[in-house]
Order: sequence, then C-alpha cells, then structure tokens
Amino acid sequence: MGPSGCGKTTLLRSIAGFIKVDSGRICFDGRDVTGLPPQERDTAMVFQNYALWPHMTVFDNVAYGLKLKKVPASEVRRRVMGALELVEMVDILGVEGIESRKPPELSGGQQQRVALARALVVQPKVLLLDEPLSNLDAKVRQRVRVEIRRLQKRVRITTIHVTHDQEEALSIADSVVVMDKGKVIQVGSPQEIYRRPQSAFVAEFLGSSNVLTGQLCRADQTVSVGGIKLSCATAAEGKATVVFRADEARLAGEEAQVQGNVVVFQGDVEETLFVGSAFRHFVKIGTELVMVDSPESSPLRRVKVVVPREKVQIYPLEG
Amino acid sequence: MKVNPGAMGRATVKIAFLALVLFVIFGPLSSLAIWSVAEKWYWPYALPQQVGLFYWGRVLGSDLMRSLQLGFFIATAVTMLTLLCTVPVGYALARFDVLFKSVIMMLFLLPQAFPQLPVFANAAVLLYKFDLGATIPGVVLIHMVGSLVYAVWIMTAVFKSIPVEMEEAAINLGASRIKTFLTIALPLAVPGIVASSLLVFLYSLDEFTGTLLIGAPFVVTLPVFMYNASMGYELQVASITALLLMIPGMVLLVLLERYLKAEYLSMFGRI
Repeated sequence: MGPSGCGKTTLLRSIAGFIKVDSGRICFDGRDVTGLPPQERDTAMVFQNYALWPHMTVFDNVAYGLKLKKVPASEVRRRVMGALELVEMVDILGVEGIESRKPPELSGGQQQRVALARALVVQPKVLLLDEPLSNLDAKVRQRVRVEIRRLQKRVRITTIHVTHDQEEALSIADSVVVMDKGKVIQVGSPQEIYRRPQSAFVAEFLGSSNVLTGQLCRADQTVSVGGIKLSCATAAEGKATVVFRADEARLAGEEAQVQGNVVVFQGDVEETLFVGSAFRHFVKIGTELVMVDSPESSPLRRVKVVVPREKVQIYPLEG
Repeated sequence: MKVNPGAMGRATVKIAFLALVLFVIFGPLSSLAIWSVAEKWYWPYALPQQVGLFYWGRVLGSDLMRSLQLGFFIATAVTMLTLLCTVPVGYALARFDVLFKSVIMMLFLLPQAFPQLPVFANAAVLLYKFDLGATIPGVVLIHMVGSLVYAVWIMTAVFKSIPVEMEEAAINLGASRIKTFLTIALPLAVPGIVASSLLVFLYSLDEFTGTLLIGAPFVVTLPVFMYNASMGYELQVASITALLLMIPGMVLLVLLERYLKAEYLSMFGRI
C-alpha cells in the first residue's frame, strides 16, 4: 500500500511483465522471471477497471485463458463453471446467464467477480490485484474485501493486492509493504506496521496519528517538542518528527497529577467532534494541533495531553 | 378547451423554424425533383407544362445503370484496399511509439494540403506512364489518395478509444500480440471500422475530379456521367442522376450516425 503515485501499480505491472525493469530481479518461488515476456510468467491480473471484454459472454471471458492453453472443451466448461462457482456467480446469473450475458449488463460488483474468476481459472502462480475494490461503493467494498480474503485462503494462491486504503491493507493482508515515492518504506505484518511504524511517513499514512516537529539536541540527549523536553538517545542534531496515535493519548485536567512514565503536553481544546467510535478532541499545543480520542466528550478547556512514553515515537528527519 | 397562449406562441415559432429548415434543405432539392419529371418547361412558366416519366425511362434504360454499378464496384474495391492498409497502420500508430509518428500522419495529409487539380493531374501523368490511365485500377488508386487520409485518422482514433487494459488482460493470460489483436482489439474496433468504411465508400462514390482526370473516357462513374449529361444541356438526366446519387449517400449516412461514436471524435486531438 501507499499513497497514489507512489509506484505501487508500476511495481505490480513490472511483476506482470508489462514494464521492463532497469535493474533488479523478479523471482517466483525461486524461478527468475525477470527476462520473461508477460505471456510466460503465469501471473493473472485483475485490473482496476476489470478490463472484461464487452464483446464476449461471461463464459467466453472466463474461458479465454483456458482456450489459449488448448484445454479440451469439456474441461474448459468444468473449470469455468468451477471458477464462477467459487466467486458465487453461478447462483446469480444461472448457467444460461453465464452463456448469454455480456459484462456491460452486469453490476460493478458482479463484473469484479467475473474478473476474479477469469484470473483464478488459469491457476496462476501469482494473482495480481490492482486496486480491485476502488470502483465499488463503500458497502459492497466491505463485503467483497472479506470474500477476496476467504477466497484467497481457499485457493491458496500467492496474491499481491495493491491498494491506497490502509484499512483494506491491514485487514486482509498477511504481510504489508508500505511504499512511498517509488521506494519500499517498511515491510511487516499488519500488526507490526500498525503498532511499530518505522518512519514518520508510515505512522502518518496509517492515519489518526499526531505528527509534531521537534528539535533534537545531542548535548543533553533530548528532543524539544510542544514546549517540553523529552529524553531521547540521539546521535544527530536538527529536526525530528514526534509521532503518537490519537487513541493512545488521553486528556487530563490542568491541575491533575499525572504519574508513571508518561509524556505530558499542555494545551487548549479547540474543537470536539463525534466520529462514531469516539469523541475526537483537537488540542492546540503551542502552534501545533493534535488529536486525542476518548469515549467521553471532555468539558475542559485547558488540559493536559498525556501519552505513555513508549507510545511516543521519535524519528530524526533526514537531510 | 383552454389554450395556454405562451405555449401556443412557442409552438408556432417551432413550426415556423422547422418549415424554414425544411425549405432551406429541400428547396434546392425540389428543383431537382421537378426537373427530373419535366418533359416540357419553357420560360415564363413557373412549373413544367408537361410532366412525365419519359426521362426516367430513358435514363434507367441507358448507360447510367452501368455507371452506377461501376461506381459501386470501384467504391467497394477502394473501401477494401483502404481498410487493408489503414487497420494495421492505425493500430500501430495508436499502440506503439512509432518513429516519426507525426511525420507519418502529415504524409497522409499532404495531398490534401495542395489544390486537388494539380495533384491529380500530376498523378494522371504518372499513372499513364504505368499504363493505369483510363483503367479501373487507376481510378481505385486515385480514390485511395483521398480515402487513406480519412481512414488512417479514424482508425487511429478508434484503436485509441479501446482501453489498453483490454489487451493487457489477454496478454497477461498468455495470448500472443497477434492473437490479442485478432480476438480483442479487432472485434472491439468493428463499429469504428464500419464507420470508416462507410465514409470511404461514400467518398469514392462521389469522387469526381480524380475520376474524370484518370478514368475518362473509359471509366465513367455516376458523378462523371452526370457531368457529361449536364454538359449536353440535358438537365433532366443530370437531375435524375443527382437524385440517384443521393440515395446511397443518405442510407449510408444514417448507418454512419449509428456507428460513429462520440469517443472516436474525442480521440482525434490526442493522436
């Protein structure tokens, strides 16, 4: 995952073989495919706009890959129906519908399923999904997301799923690769990525995070941020990014005594919004605005923002 | 019954406008229709003194039908040959980084940049050198000078309007480039190919300058026939020819309107 324009689709198209790589190698299961044309890579891609062929019936769309491989007609039929069964399209269209209807007559979600079936039916080594859910409306997306995950577990095909939606990535992936500006920034399990982002970019991209700018000082091994000093082992001088999550901070009264290994900022509550799962307080600390989530709306104006020390991440800024 | 005066007024304006449009379009044509049945018509009479189908009979029994057939034959040949050239060229221009793309597109346009007459007159000299003067292949070639221009631009736009992912999806599943072209791009381009062939067919059917210069005196298509007829002051024969020549044009234009999609036109600028 990564923001738009970060190169994730380019990477996917390189894996499929549509883009020649300048350097590096692409291997599937130890086999080097870098020099192979897209036809011989045994990948199957589901395109963002599905790219179903409007002049062919649903059956012919799905059967295309098998017919190319000269699979006998009876087996083509069995496997096409099997793949469509897998994506639950047989019940929706019926056998007759599959043989007579063409993609433009189907809804977005149905086209998506047919595109998946077309890719799965050839039993590829790698299944490539290019933002497959971005053209679906929010409700359908939630459902199809779960279905894709279930399907992938069932067919056991390595799947690379490109998305800019962090929730989507975290909820269905075994392993998440975060990209930015053409570079892989962090690789890890969804939990790792979420709990221990290794850069300000990842933390920010995962959302609901507060990003403050601080000043590192090597002499006394601290970083000054939001009017306070935090101890921090540093070998560098200069600016640093200080990050903590909105749901890991809490509010306390101005006079309250706070104990434990925590970081305490002084600030003013500027605004409180109800966001469904919590109340989000926007607190002004010096010149910066941070978000603090809590289950109850706080009536206070002058507050302390309290964050456990181990939840505060400090990243020196490069350059 | 109560009538809304505002609506009445608007309806009157609408009808008046429609009548004006019909008059502007069909007014000049009506004189053709009247001439085609005029057996006797002298000044100062506003309408012919004697009306009849004498000239229609004469025309239909004459060489005109042969000219019509010949015109259709030539137009068909021109259309087929043009498609044979422009479908692959259009595809290549739309999909690949062809070297000197703009130069190639300009080359196709170039004959149109000069006045037709000198271009065709020079071409005639050349064609006579190869013994193609006054032959059907010669006329077909001269028609293609014009038709290739339309067809290349339309075909390029047509292939551009097909999302490239459609083809990538086929390649991804293992189809070769040729197989992809034949099973995906070509079928999807059919409406555009039909539209472009209709345009080319009409162009060839109505082409006059080149046909006269290259084809005369042995290859006489309908427009040349009409020209000869009106030179002989037989306005009746010329009118009937004009009316006959309109029929395929109108039929094909109605078809064209069905097949020429707005997407193609929007692609023209992006070639």
